[in-house]
Amino acid sequence: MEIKYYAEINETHYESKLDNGLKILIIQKKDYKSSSCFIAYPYGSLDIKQKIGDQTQEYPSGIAHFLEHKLFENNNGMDIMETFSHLSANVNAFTSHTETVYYFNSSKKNIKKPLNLLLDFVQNLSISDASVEKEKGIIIQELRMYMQMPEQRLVLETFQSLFHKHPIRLDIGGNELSVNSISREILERCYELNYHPSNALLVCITPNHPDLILSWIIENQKNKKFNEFNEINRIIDKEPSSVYHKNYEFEMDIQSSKMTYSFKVKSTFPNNKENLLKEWKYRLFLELVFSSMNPQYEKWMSENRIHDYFGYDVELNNEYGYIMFYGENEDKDNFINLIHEGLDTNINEFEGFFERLKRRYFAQLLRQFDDQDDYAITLIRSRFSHVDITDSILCLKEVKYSDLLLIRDEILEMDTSFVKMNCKV
Amino acid sequence: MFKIQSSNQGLSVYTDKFKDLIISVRFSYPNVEPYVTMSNLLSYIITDRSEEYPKKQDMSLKMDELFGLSLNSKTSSLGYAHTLEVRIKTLNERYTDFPHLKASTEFLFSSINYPLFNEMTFNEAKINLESTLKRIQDKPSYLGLLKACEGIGKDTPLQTFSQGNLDVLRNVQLRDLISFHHKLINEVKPDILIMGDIDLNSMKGIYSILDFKGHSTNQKTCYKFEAKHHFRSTIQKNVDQSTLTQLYTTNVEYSDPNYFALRVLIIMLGQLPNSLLFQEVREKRSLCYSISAGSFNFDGIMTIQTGIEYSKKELVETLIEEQIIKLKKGQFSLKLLNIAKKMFVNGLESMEDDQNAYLGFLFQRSITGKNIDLKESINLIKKINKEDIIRVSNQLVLVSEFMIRGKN
Repeated sequence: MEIKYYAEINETHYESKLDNGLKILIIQKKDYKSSSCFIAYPYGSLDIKQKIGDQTQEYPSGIAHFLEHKLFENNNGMDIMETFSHLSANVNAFTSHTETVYYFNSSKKNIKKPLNLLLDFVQNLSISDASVEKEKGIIIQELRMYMQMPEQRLVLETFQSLFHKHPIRLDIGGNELSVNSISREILERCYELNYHPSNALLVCITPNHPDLILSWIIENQKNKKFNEFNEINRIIDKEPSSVYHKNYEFEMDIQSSKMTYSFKVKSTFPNNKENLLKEWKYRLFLELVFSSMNPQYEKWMSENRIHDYFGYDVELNNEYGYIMFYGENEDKDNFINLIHEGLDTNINEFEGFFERLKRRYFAQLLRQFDDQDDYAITLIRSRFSHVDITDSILCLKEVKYSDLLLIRDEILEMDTSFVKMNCKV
Repeated sequence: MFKIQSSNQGLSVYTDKFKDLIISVRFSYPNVEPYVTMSNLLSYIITDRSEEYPKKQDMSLKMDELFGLSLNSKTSSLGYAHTLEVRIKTLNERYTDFPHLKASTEFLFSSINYPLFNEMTFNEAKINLESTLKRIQDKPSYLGLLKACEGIGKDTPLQTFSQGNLDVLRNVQLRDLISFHHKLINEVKPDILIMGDIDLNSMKGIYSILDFKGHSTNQKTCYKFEAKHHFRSTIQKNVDQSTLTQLYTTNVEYSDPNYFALRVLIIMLGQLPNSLLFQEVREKRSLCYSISAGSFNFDGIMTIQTGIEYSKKELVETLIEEQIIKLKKGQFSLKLLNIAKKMFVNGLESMEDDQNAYLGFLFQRSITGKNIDLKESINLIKKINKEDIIRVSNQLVLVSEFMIRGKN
């Protein structure tokens, strides 16, 4: 096992890779009462077009999420969730744009049985046509539930306005049509391709000794047979740098109109460490301008142009990038003007605050290592995007004040999209 | 291992397992309007600006100077009591360039005692609270619970929504808020809770800075809600899904000897993937994605909520009723009971890895005078048997049902 000590965060990682390709990362938290184990696959809602060898395959949207639902199906007569509960372990899973993660948490010191169960159920799909049909009703209710949550709906509509083709514009769970088109055969094919141990990362955060955890994993894996692993690549069609809708409005049964004003990043770096660095530059610039650090912010509030439901989100990776401002406001022009006034702020007078702001973000980054779930998910996402767990801290440290002086012009060169959710009377 | 020290000054938990130190100050007062709405306004103002830092920028810069200190405030209902919590979370000095604990504590004290009251901060807080309340009501799950409580809660704490009331908000004046703050600071002795890696001297230093003037009020908390009538109502909303919310009286609240049995019952009914409701309504019949049971622990209320198609309303109601009858008649497996107990224990044990959850547990124990620790609680849960579940189930009475009817 390889041992890596990260001085910046005072954390030690124990890493290993089994012959079948399964990558393992163990973090011992001696003072903790509970253990959390996560098995993750870089298979999310964006993976609807994949290249395997020289073949390209396409799937209905929502397929990864559907598969996540079906993995929990009774396996050889055993109810997986019930068995976890019986072992004093809470099991759950989620599908995001870029990964599917299954995990359990238990306050019992000995987690050999739930760990075995996690590996066993994720490494074995057993479904029937009838059960796939039955699941469709449940998933459609889930899609409807999320569609009536105003904030989530607004983000989805924003992605649909920003992007022409990129699958980020699709709901993680797909839509009613795509869900209804999914069959047992499709699910089995996707499982076969994407759930190979070589494609998986197992993360355990536990008070147990890493050697003990590793020995349990090896014992579990040694007699399992897997087909040969085929390298899979996500195919993303070339996305224009322009936005799909410059302006889009829709109605919902809400009391206050909400809106987003977004900037589509023209091109991102193939290397995600560079994207991380750029994202920090954007974030630091935006925080200096669109937060209480800027005296204008207080003025905007007092003029009732914004209130506490105002903010921004930035995401930048090797596939796409955007900056999204959101708020509650009836007046489109007022909101857009405010964003441009903010971007035009002379930040020279904020130079003295720059190091303090970095200190705040440094504290926030450190804090995530106290929470087992945050820690594990950060680790998983770092690995899948080929960056190191401390790269975020290192990139933050690397940003210089002078870097921020170029950001305004860079943002203003991007194409923009405005989306408004109106109150339905 | 945690070292817990309780004194007249407050409650402290020493542990070196977290990177943060939390200092939490909690004021408790009657759960009635206009106090509740005013405490929510205070919650905004306290974390916004203070007399010492009269601009948002000043506050922000000070917090960044203190290594990204976070100052948060929130309110919650605990039966007859309502609490305003103001807390700071600050990095352990091990990770910082210079000692900042004293300055951080002084910042907390100053924020609580000397918030910046003027028309501008007051109006801003009102706008923020109004928008928050509207956003909450836009979410069918919250709206369902609010309306189900309103329907039966007249003249009881159930009538008061912990985040405030829009009508009350419109009528609150700045002078009312200042007077409420004055009363709180001068008359109520807050609970002070500290958790993190600090020595005894530093702990004493914190208490000496947080020298609040108020005296102990022995605010009453738990009560058993008794419904005067049954409430049933439906509203139409332009959403895809219908949301069904039910409230049951339990005759059991947080300080009751049957409390743990009720909690186990609720887990058996609707908090696990193998719970009765989840199995029957979702897994067997695919009628919903989510169905769950919950509780208002200080009011003696159990809740059930699900998102369904409106045409399946009656079927779902019947299925829910059947699951409760199964509990009342003892028609459930011992396996389900044991699993529910295990999961409850698992949740309690895991609290020791979560500073916020652990402090919440200690505070609830302190404010109710329920002097049993985590270990004793776990022992009591392990002793719960089938008869306990049957007995508590037979106290369940459906008293309120609210339906938000969607398009489908």
